[in-house]
Amino acid sequence: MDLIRFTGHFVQESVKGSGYTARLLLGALARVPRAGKRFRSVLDQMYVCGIKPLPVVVVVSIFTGIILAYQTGLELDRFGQREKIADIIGIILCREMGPFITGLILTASVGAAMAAELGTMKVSEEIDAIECMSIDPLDFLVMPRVVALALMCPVLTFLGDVVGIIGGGFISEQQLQIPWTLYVRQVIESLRTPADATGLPKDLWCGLVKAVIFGLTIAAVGCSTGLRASGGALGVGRATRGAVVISFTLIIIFGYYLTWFFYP
Amino acid sequence: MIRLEKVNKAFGTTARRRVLIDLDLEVAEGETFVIMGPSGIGKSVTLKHIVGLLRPDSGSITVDGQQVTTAHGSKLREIRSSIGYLFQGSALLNWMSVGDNVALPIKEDRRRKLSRAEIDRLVLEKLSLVNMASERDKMIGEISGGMRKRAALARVLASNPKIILYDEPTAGLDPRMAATIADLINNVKNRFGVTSIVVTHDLSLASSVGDRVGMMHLGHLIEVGTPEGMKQSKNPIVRDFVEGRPILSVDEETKLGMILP
Repeated sequence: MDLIRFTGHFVQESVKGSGYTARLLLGALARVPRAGKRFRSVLDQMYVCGIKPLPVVVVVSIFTGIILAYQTGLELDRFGQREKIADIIGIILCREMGPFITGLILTASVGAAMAAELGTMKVSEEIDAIECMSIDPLDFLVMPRVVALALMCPVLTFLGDVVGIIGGGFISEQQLQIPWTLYVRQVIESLRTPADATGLPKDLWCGLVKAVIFGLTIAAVGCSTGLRASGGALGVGRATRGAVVISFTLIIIFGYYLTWFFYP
Repeated sequence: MIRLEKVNKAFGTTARRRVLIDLDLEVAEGETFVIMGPSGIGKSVTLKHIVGLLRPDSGSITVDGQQVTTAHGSKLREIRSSIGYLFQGSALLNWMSVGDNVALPIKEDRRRKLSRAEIDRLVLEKLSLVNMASERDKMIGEISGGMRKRAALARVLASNPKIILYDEPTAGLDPRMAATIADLINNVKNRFGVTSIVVTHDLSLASSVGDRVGMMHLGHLIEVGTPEGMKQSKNPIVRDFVEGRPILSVDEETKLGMILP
């Protein structure tokens, strides 16, 4: 009976949580036209979401490029295809790894911090106080965070792509003796094809669109779990853990479906 | 005027705990009504119903003739604009200075389009009312508990409320600071003529600020009278509270129907 009750409760809470998060995201997006009035808050959040995690994104991306180049390069070398390394690094980073790694870093740093911050505000009645002052928490707290992450996630992803490609180039030159000029030319060439109607490198813009969706997901989940926190410090901890777990899971699931959508 | 009629509220999913049971309350304009009772009896829950933060399971709540229980969106915001709520933990926003906290309701009020200078003047005026003008630029983490209560009161006053709800305004404060808060509550009442509801278990606060005092027990008010009258009450529950005798056990609450199966 306990298992049935637990399962029922879990399903009920998951459905309620999903509905609340979706409503929160739509509500925040509906308030985007008011972002100008909240320009200062949006800027503050852009600093928190874009500048603070920058060193981590740079370090992780550069090492991702290095590891990718090293492991792939060794295998390609066995087949005499080492010059293909630039194509593989460029495509994998821009299409998949760049947005994915940036999404995970932002989930662990920014998404968790959002849940903890809003959760603490919730349990210490600050959210209630905001509502009592006739201030809309969606407009005051959620919308600036959603806008900031939706803007900064693709920016960080692009930087991560560039830095990762540079990391890969370093290994390509040192270990596989591929000259920088050739490497860079091949990366650019590989990203140009297949060209589509937009005229932009498809792998790059598809990755950036993914990053926007990951940014929206991280912000919506972080704010939603934070605003539903209850039960003091324990509740804030639960909300923070929930934000990280849910965002991680959704990023992987959305990542797959977006790839399937863009590359059917 | 604030009027609560037959308000019921229970919390929990399995064993639902009834917190408010057919609660009736009427507070006249300009009156200070004190709700007294032990912790966990539903005093703060009552305040949260009045401001629309909680919805009752049944019953009616009106503020100046406007129904709170069914109000949503802009209607609820309109009702709330006439109500100030002083939270037990002050609920000041930690990332802002004292001055910015007080300025918040002024800046966010879409009906008032004020210049930066006017906002600064109002902030200083409200902080002066609670003797906090010199702390204006300090961050919330840098001020004491008593100062936080006063800063929160200045923030409440910044929205020019007609009604102020005080949730345990002296909780956790030393007797001198508690007396200062009681003076401030009286000053605010005399100066602005606001209607107030003060929730407390502090008998001396109830005596010094209350026009009428209501004793809350089993989810409703069992006795209402003047502060002096409450001290002389013959009701054994009121006497137990005034004289500080132990509160009901869970078994006794279940027997009295406070906990639903």
